[in-house]
Amino acid sequence: MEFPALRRLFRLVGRLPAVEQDIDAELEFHLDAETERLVARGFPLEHARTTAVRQFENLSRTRSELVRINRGRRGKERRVNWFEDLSQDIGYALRGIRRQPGFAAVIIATLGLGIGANATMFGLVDRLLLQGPSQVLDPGRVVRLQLTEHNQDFSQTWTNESLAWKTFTDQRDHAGYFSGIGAYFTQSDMPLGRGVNAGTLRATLATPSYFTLLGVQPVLGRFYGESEDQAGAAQPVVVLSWSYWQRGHGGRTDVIGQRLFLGSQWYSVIGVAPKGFHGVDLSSVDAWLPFHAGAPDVVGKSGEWRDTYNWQWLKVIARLKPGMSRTLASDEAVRLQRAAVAQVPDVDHKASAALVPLMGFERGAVSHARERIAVWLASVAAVVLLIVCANIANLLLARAGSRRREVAVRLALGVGRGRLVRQLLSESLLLALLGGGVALLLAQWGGNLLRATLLPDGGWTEGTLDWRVAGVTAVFTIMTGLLTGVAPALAASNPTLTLALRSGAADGASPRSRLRTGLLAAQACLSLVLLVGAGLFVRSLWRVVHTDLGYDATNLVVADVDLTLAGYDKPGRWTFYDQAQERLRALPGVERASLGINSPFWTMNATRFRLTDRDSTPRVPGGGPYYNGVTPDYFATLGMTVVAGRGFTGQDRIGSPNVVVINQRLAEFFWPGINPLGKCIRIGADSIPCAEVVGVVKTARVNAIQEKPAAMYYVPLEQSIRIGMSGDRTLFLKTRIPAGNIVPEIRRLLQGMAPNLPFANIRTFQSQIDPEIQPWRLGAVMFGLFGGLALLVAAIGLYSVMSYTVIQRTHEFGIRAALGARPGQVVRAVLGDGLRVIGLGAALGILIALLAGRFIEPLLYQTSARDPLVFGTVLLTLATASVLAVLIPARRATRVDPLEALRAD
Amino acid sequence: MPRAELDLLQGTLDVLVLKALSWGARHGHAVATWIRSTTDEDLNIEDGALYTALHRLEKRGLIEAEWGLSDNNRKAKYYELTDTGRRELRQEAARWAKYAGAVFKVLQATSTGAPATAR
Repeated sequence: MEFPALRRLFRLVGRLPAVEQDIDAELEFHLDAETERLVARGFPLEHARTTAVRQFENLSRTRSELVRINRGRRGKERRVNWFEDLSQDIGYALRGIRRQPGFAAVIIATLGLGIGANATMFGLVDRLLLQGPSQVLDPGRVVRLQLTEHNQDFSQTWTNESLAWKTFTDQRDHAGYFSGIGAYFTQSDMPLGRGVNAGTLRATLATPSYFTLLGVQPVLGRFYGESEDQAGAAQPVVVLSWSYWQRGHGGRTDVIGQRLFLGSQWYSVIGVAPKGFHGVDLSSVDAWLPFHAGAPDVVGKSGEWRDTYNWQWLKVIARLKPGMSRTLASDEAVRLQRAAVAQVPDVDHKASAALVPLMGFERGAVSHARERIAVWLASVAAVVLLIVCANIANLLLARAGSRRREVAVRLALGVGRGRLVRQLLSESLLLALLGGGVALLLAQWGGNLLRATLLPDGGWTEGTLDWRVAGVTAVFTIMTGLLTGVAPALAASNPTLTLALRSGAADGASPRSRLRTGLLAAQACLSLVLLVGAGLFVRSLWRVVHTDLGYDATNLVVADVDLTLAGYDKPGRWTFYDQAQERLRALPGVERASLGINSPFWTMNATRFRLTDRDSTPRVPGGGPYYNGVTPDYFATLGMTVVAGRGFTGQDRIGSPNVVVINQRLAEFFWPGINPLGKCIRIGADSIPCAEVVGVVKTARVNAIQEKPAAMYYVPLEQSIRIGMSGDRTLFLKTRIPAGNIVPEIRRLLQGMAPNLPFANIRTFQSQIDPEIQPWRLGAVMFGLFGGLALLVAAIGLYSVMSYTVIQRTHEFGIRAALGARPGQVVRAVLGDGLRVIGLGAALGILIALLAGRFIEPLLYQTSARDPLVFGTVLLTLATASVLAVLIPARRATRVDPLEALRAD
Repeated sequence: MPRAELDLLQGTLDVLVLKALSWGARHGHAVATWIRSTTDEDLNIEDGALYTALHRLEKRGLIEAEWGLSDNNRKAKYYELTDTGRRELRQEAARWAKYAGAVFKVLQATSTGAPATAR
């Protein structure tokens, strides 16, 4: 019984005998044995055989019966064998990993980074572009109404998602393309509560149809109905989002019937929306109010917004009727829109309405910059994964070469080539799977990080890792495993190559070496492209951050309180701010305090503006003249420079002559080369005496970092009232300590100044600018991360391939050394080889970077996509990394002992 | 030589095959020979039925097959009882003994019981 056991071992390697062969052999044996038995009993041989066959009745029927029985069984056995093989393959792969743990760790880490970057980016792109909003029924059928209008003042065409209530009712009352249509508006800082502890909520005003058309159901209580959202008779009820219910009310079911003070009135909680539901926008929502109940606190009590086309603020969504196409529906929407406004003056009669999907790129001009950035970054991540794949394929190729003896032995033992390829493939797949595990961890961590930076106010109730991300990661992993494994496996198991290697020939010009060189060049090329991208963004960011905006944002705090909610009239509000300014100035942490009507990057205003020494006032390209009314300390508080004349003093008051300070842009535009001091400007009504220019300040940005210099003038706050500037006040504070540390103190003081004050909006000046810097910061960080990763991976690849080449050429180096070559010559030879490949890749990379430049240029700030400094730095970085990567193996080559090397083969 | 050949009851052959293998591995021919000689050739066992039984038992996991060498050095397929097969043999043997005993008791009965009541 020893032999069959051996035989079983063989079966693992060889092919299973066919079922039929097996049965035939068994039956053949039976007949032979029976014949022998009969012969032993005295039958003649001929006769015995026939008797044996005759005795075995139904021989052929039995045979086919046995075949039938065994078919199924053998199938099972084959499956068992397949699993046995698999576990053997995995064991083999694990042994390989254990044998070279460092090598495996490098591969797993690189794969983890590469796949992780892609999983992270997929998660984001999925949320931004592919997946519909959470909890919405069949989001593909929900559309958003857009209006494209031509604005004559700016001679520009705008596509707008903010529409007038009239536009909404035109569609609601007359169109037939939808099964439901609703309007909503999200107020991101609806005041919650009063007094010192007042806060804010993200509240959405929504018509009742909003919930029904989106197909959501409350998890607790109910949503409001049409009867509760009537103009003039709206009920103060509120529906909470699941996350706010958890956060603000601990998820208690007795929240129903409780009251919230929102804006200027009490609301009763009537329901809670399902978990994850945040409407159809990307930002989160805390509460929903009946549209007409919340509107007075958002757009004023007059109700004027219901009767005009000029008040464009709300958003309209609709669910298409079953069978209705988006194109047909859009046509109807345009027709209706134009018919409705045909007789209305001051409205663009050619404006065209369009219905666009909630997700994806079709939102055209309105689609957010962050969506584009996400797609950009996703493409970059894909490039990184390509580099990673090229690199790992290269590493495995190099190792496959170093394993040639092992492979040769296995081939000689009769292991089939297919089996060998499978074994090598399972190794790369196992590595990829481990890398995929690392990738999931990274995606979890990176996803959260990315969400926090790119979409800080998103309604992220779901985790970063959903089954879609996990599925995509799995696909990436398996693809990577196959992609990196196929070439090395085929190369390693190629018998002719194995033969060639066995004879000791160096593989200088073998196809495999060419493949490796190509992969290396490709890595260098792609890394260079990414690094150039990173460089361009870093340079843009540097320029943005170092742009002189005309202000000193250090320790500068801006604050205002919505006093209308607390019932203050206009003079009351002005008095309040005057007092607040005095009391805040008395705080030890506050260096300066001042007031202004408008806040840079926040609000701007213009009024009638005429020059006394000219008949007509031309328009200023770049905008303006805009005005601001400010207290004397304003310029000092904001760090603005007075370049000529003087700023304001306490003497510039209501009784004294009207004065004005202009910015350089205004001065140079209206009085080029002439001293503007002493000129007179007529501001507001003709009856008001003209204001004398007493000073010039340096031009500062009004609304955006990327704006043409705009004309701006400043009047003393006290005189502004007489001129007819009736805007509310904003507080500006220069603090002695970092702004963040003093905000709570300012808040306590402001909200405690009178009973029943709503939440004070206190922010740093920097935070008003930050959203504008964000795209460049993000681009610099992400491109930098990905570019750095690519460079690291490429350097590792170069190092490993050069190391391998050195081992391959040990023989040659030995001969050279024996012939008296100096170490320097050997180093140069190796260096030259490596750098030639990198140089080739880099040249190609520069070409691609130059060509791709025009796609990226619009995203840059004052930076050419062909910035020579960026290209130079990147080339230098790549060269340094390459030399470092090659130098180590090159030095190893110099240490080759000639005798040892020559003896080796 | 005329002989009273008995037909096999369904399922009986399986027990006989298991029993034949209870002393160790045997190939199909040896199993057939052993059964025939043990029953003094009273039972008529078709070779086809025997092999079908062997393969079925193998499929059920009661016996295991292995290629080996016969006494005169020929390649033969040997069958061996598995643990499950051994258990099955014990149970079936006990069942058969009980069954046979019961039948035997009836056939050996000397007096009739209570007569059946006429309708």
